[in-house]
Amino acid sequence: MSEWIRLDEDEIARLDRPLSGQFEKGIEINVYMSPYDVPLAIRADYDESKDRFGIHLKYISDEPVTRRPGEDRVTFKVGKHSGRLYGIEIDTSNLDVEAVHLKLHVQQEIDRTLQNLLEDPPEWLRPPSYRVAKQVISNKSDQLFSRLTPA
Amino acid sequence: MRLKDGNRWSWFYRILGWIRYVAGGTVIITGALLKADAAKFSEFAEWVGNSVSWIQTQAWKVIILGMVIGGLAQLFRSRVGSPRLWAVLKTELEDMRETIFANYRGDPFHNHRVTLFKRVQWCFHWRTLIWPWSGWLVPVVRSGWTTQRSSSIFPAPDQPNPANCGIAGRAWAGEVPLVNDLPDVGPHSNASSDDFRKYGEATGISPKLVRRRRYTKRSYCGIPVEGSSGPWGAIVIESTDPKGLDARKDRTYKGRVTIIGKIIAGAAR
Repeated sequence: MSEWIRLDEDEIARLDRPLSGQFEKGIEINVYMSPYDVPLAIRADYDESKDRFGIHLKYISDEPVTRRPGEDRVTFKVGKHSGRLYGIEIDTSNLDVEAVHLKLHVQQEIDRTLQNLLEDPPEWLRPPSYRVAKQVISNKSDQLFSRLTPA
Repeated sequence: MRLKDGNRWSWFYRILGWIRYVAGGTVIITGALLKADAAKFSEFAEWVGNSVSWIQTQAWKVIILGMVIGGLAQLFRSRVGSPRLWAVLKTELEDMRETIFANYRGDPFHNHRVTLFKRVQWCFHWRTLIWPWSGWLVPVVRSGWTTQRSSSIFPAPDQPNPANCGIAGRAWAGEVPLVNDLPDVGPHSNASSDDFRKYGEATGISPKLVRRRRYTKRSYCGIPVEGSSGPWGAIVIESTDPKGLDARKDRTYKGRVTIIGKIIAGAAR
């Protein structure tokens, strides 16, 4: 199993900037994300025997997760109580690409999936969590997808 | 509504514990005596045998009653919550208050305080007369030892309306609202109707209520608290200083809820 990649304080602070901030009639109002929605760490694993690549997120609290099928080969791991995004798994078995192109293909597939979530969010997923997940995955893409590079 | 301080209900919690054990023990003993031979007990003493016979004739009533009493005692016990738990939570809130308001050491405690609200489905209160079942946030623990009575409750339905759910309701819904520079609407102020309206709009409280209660706090921050089965309640930090809550330090506030959430997840219902 791969190691968790911890997000440093600056990175978390950047993610946790106000969702909305305004100075309303002299009153300062800022709305931030719940601390429970800000991931602390992220990791990716690739199980070649099962042809599955997964990206997993860790938050300050744990909860049971349920699997929700997404488009095509994608499965989401979603918090049972919170609707928070805990992971994305992609079935690579039917991807008709050469090994050297696998990394690029999976990365594109995950990017497309997360973009679709932003454009057409399902009601069972908590909005801040997939917005943040997209950002974190994009920031850490080199480390996360390196596992798909052929040796 | 008096807030929990860890000591006030401890005697009740202990008595409920004893009732639970006595009821459980009575059920077990009665069950064991059901098929006992009362005549053999009479060999020790006649009253013992008579007692066993009486228990056998009344056994089902005793077992059912014992189970009901034991069950109710356990239910109330879990509702009251462990006094130790509330004491730990109060210490945590106090510690949180000390950290956040380190620059206000000379001020009265109640000027800068931290309150833990719990979400309950049913609440009986003058504000809940119409919909007592729709979900409410009630204060359960507050930092310090002054202002330990509070009638501040906020609606917390499944989909809270930011216009009337207060800072606590917005936090319970999963946001962290941070409001500074609120107008002075306190009892000694010359607040205008516009001030009451602005205060109400920024804090999610009706301007009528703001006018009646004449709130003294000028800055607020709400943070959600999650337990083992999802959203549990919210923490509200408030100060009389209009610049009392520094947005740049908000991570300090939020970091503390992890500990509080873990305590709640482990013990509170």
